[in-house]
Amino acid sequence: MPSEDSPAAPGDPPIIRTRRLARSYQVGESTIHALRGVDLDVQPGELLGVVGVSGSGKSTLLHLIGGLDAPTAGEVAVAGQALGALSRRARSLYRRQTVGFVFQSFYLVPTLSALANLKMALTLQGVYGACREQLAREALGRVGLAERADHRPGQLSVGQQQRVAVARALLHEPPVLLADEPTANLDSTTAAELMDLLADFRERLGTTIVMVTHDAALAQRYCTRTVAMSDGQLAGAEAAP
Amino acid sequence: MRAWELFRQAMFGAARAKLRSSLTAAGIAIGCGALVSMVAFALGLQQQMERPFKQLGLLNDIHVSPSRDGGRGRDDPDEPDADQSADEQAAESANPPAVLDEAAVTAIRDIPGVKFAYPDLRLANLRLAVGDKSTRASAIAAPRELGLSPELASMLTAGEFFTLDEAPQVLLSSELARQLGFDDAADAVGEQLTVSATGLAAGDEAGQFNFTDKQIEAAIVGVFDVPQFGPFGDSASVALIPADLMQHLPGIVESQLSSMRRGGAGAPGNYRRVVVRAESPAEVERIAKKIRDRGFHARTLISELGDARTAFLFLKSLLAAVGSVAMIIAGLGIANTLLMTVLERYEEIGLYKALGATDGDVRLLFLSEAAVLGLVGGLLGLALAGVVCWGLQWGLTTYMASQGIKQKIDAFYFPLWLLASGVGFSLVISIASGLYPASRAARVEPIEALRRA
Repeated sequence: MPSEDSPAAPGDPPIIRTRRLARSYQVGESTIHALRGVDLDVQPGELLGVVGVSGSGKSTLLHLIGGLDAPTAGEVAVAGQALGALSRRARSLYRRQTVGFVFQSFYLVPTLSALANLKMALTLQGVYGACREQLAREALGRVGLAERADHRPGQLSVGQQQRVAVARALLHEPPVLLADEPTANLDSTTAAELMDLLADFRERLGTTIVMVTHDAALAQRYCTRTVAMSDGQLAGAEAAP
Repeated sequence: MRAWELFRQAMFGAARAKLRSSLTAAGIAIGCGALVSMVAFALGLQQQMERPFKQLGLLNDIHVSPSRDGGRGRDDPDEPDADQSADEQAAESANPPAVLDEAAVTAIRDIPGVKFAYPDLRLANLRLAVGDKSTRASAIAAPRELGLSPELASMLTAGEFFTLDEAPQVLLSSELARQLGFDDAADAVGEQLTVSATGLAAGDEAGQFNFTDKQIEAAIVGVFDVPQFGPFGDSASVALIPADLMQHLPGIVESQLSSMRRGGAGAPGNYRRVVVRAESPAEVERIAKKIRDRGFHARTLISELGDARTAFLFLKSLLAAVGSVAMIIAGLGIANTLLMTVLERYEEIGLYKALGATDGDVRLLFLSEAAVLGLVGGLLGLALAGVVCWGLQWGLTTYMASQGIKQKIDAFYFPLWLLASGVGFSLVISIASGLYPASRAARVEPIEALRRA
């Protein structure tokens, strides 16, 4: 179970801030408004749960915070960087240095072993040689998969695959971890183990975590704060349990 | 990303679709092999033509003769100038031609880049005798320094060239050695030879000539095969005599007098022709110009081979163009392979970008993969060219042997630069072919790619 207190002191500037954040898509003749003017502040060290039904815009919000997508209106700033002002290259570097991603589908390269998946991510960080090998093995050790280093994703359970994905996201100890439905494909026991793992990292590294989930109960149980989304807007904030 | 890491990633990427990558590399190998083989064939022909000249160092030679127009071009001393106008003749008498005597030769030797220079002296009717065996022969003067030219080593079948001192020495052609009773050329080396020459020799007073018979004793220091090309003409019975020794034999002045009779610069002590050898072919034209500036006529084989070289350049270009077409087609194969790879690994590219790979990283990764295919294909192409050309050479040699032709013909020539160019061109074509797929991969939007997964 995570600590219920945010490591941030009252009055600290939010590490994530969105203002009137909007994203719409053109599909044929019609415009789909996935996000309609979201104002959100996330304090450093929070584990924020974003809950909502499918299509409510919660993943879109996460993608905009992660710099994977660009807003059609509004602003988003993370760790003092206004993402709207960043060039393509600067946004890549932002994703490399400031955020880590955990996806619902894990997105592990199926032809690479667990260790090689982590080494590949470290290569993108500019880490090579023996240091890369050591860091990758340590990261696998932290998620309890040291013995499965040479197994390919197909040879691991879904829970183990997600743990490899978490290890990959936290390799460079980013200040912000963005998790998109990380437990959606897991059974309740494995989901609980994963949430314990995330909460543990938050506590030890002070990582700010924004987790999108449709499982309100899980969010209530593990998150320091939960917000609900509906029809592209924040439906209301809920206090930490 | 570090170059080695990039190479590893590219190798890994190519190895993921082994069959497709192998077929693509095979396409490049065929293109590279065709290009290299065809250019090697053109180079082989050119090499075959130029080799005898190169072996004798003739491409380094400049033939200098007295000029009647100040070195401006028309005047082989052997050619009459029947069409010379009265005005030109008058102009000549006002500007006497430069004299090609020993002083002029010494001055030519001092031109930077000149290896040596010697008068081209020949005697047509010598008698050579060893013991009770004798024969008629012609003789050509050769500088003692000629032995320092490594290219001439291939001519010698026994012995060595002249020593640099003034010892009386002579080199015999294989035919002469045989006529003198030496069936084995090596047996002739070290034997004493009597050289008898008959002809006019300068007398004690200026303008006085006496008909003289002179004999000298000389050691046979070597035996050589008369090359098909060069200054030896058709005669197989020829001896090489050091220029310093040859000048004292009677008969030399006759050619000078013959030149004088034709109104040229011939006079006792003047030479009709001097051979100048440059340090390298690259120096030849510069030295020739300096000699022309001194009022002499200078002719170089290298410029006379110019037309043939132009023809070979055209042939090489044509064959290279044909080979390049094969390479370009192979390049299209690379583009196709990489485009398929981009589509197949679309989600993976999205993941890389989500993890922080820049457009440049992704572009570089795919270009590296193209380069790896080009490099592997290029190296395989060299091996393929080697095998194919070896096979063709073997076939040609076998056929020639069956026709009773003993001369060895190297139909293909693979200089290092050709091998490097083959691989380099494979790389360039491959990278150029990879530009578009790599650019497409670089433009992948991570969110689009991950949604598709």
